[in-house]
Amino acid sequence: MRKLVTKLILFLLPLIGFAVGVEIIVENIPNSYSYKSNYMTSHAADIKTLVLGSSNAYDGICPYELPNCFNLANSGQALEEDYRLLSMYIDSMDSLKMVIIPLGYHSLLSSQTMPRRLYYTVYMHLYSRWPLSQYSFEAYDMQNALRKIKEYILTGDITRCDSLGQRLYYEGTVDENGERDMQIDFLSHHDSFEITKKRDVIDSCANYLHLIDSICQRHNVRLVIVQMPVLSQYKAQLPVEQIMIQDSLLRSFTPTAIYINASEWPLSSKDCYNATHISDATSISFTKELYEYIIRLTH
Amino acid sequence: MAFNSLTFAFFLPVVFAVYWQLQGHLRWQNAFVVLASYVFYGWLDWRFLGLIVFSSLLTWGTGLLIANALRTQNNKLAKLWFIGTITINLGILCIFKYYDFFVSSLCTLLQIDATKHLLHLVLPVGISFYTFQGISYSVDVYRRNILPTNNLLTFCAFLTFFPQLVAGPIERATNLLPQFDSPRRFHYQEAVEGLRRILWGLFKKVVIADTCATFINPVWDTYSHQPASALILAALLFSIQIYGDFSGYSDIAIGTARLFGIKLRENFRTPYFSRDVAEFWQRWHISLNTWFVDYVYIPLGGSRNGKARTISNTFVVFLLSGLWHGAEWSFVGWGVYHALLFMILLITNRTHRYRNEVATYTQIPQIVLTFILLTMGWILFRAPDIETAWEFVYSMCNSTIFSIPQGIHFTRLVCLLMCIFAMVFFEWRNRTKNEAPIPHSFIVYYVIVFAIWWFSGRASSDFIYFQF
Repeated sequence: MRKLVTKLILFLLPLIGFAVGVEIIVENIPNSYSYKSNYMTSHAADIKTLVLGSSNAYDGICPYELPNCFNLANSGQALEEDYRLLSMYIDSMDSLKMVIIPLGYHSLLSSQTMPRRLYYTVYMHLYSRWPLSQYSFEAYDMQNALRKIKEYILTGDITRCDSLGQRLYYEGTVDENGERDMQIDFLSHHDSFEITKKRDVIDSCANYLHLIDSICQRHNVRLVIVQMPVLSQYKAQLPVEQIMIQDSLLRSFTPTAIYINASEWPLSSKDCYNATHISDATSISFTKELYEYIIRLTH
Repeated sequence: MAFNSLTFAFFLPVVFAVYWQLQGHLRWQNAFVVLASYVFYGWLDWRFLGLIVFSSLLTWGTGLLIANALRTQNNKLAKLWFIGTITINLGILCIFKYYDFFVSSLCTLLQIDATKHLLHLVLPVGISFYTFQGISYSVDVYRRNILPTNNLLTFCAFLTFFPQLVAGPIERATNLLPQFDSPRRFHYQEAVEGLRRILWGLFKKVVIADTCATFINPVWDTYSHQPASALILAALLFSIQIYGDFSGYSDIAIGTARLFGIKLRENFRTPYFSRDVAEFWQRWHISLNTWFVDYVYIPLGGSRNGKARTISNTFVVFLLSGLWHGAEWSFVGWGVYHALLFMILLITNRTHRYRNEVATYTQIPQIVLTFILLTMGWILFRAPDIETAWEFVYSMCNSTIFSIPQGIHFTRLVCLLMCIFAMVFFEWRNRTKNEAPIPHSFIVYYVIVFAIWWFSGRASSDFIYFQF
């Protein structure tokens, strides 16, 4: 048995050494998650407006149009992660006045974003690395880890957000004619749900929204829930029942929070990356209008 | 926990080390196997640990009662205990696995609303496997093929041995029980062969099956919008996926057991090198098929009572085999499809043409034809229902057969095809042997480990047969 163990250790040592090396290199490459985590650690006290949410918010809310704002949203960020992030930083955000949570029609369908859990574990420390799992190391996904190292060597930067956290470089998908693909069919199919099949997930998401609401109330912070603009053709393909349920669920927060349904905000395909994501140029005018609307509502 | 998880990578060395520290203490070794097996199973789903303990106690206890009744010539009582244990074991399986299926089918037939009558129970992982293993023990005791064991620990180790607990091979007491009854010594060569087998199994699961799934699943999700070429590619790749997935699992199970000095039955013998469907069924999921032959086909009369009876018995076996896989009409359809293919060979007396011989290069056309027939069957297996399977097959037969599928990552596809080629090459070269077909070379091992690492990512999926 000693012979087997010795040979196995000798066989595994180079592999473990390689994995540790890759892990150290990748974890030290700056990325959007580490940038946002570092920003929150050093600037939390100055933030007056915090944006949470998934890619709709990451693309669609321009932090430069809001007072002392930071966009802490990220692709596929679920409401559970929004809640955990807010809980983590709320005590250090002394100036915080407003939390904005922009939602898409998929937002109440997404529980935890498992494939991205790694980033919330390694860079944002929302979850523990123990017990060790595939979400504890970058090197577990060797293909992705080596791709990051290669991209960093070639470009010198793999951070996808600007200094206030809004996404950079996102262009969506391009079709065979080189035109931006609005992905109306794909996204409406992807975001549609039958209420009976998804009840548990919806309840869980609604629960996290309630928890966020109660944190905001405790800290005297205004919560603004925004149903983000989408292309009308996309919305027309969603089940009517789904739209009604989401609207009434979000409306139920209005005694304490502000709910703004901006899903029918006028949009053309030129204003979007795809059917559910507005472009950075549009995000400026949308955020400006959104802020003016909030000011009108609160005065 | 699953074999392809990081948890198992930590679990296995710990269990291995403790197990061999207990060498020479058989009772403690068996107790540790049972404990490790419960931890393994509980990690997957702790809620059903009670069920597996109950099933173990019931089968062990009734085994002793049956043997006792037989010893005192009280055949009626033995039969009573035997029927009792089979009924309870099958009853549990039926309630968890088939109740909703039969009730909803009946309600559809009677055109009444089924929602009020359904139980919506979660299927305990591996229930079909360990229930069949338990039933085979009871039958063997009742038939006096084996003597029941008095030792509960030995029996629990036999029924719950973690490498084969959740997806087989379905073991027989005649093979496994004596191994847990006798002292086990560590053999270096056995352990090395076990590790090689695990490595090969992981390659088939992670590199072949899981990568195939990344091409197949998007096509199935949107099959009505896909060209025929994409559907054909998905169908062919699913044949490879299910083989890589299930035979990969069996390889890991057999390899893991060898690390513990236990030899499990072979479950696959290069089934896609079969020259007809009859040969395929001698090489695919062998432990289940021999179970059906020994405990269903032969008791029904087998081939002893004329051709008509043989045909009906064969049909029953395939129908049950389909149902065993899942409570869906598509699985029943899959069973019927194979039964029909088998009938053709049965009627023309060609079911035993290739027994005990391996395929040669000149027989490759027959192998390809058989593979195509099997691929058509796998569409039924993969489809959520028969209507979808039919629409999928219908959509495969149109003019878009020559169009290039959209949205396919061609570099990844070429890498996958190279890996499939490597698998076929190694398995063809070693098609007569029951061992990992890879050369004894550290360079090869490193290449395979890197391939597994490269393809694994975070999107690795569960084994398909876990759902059965």
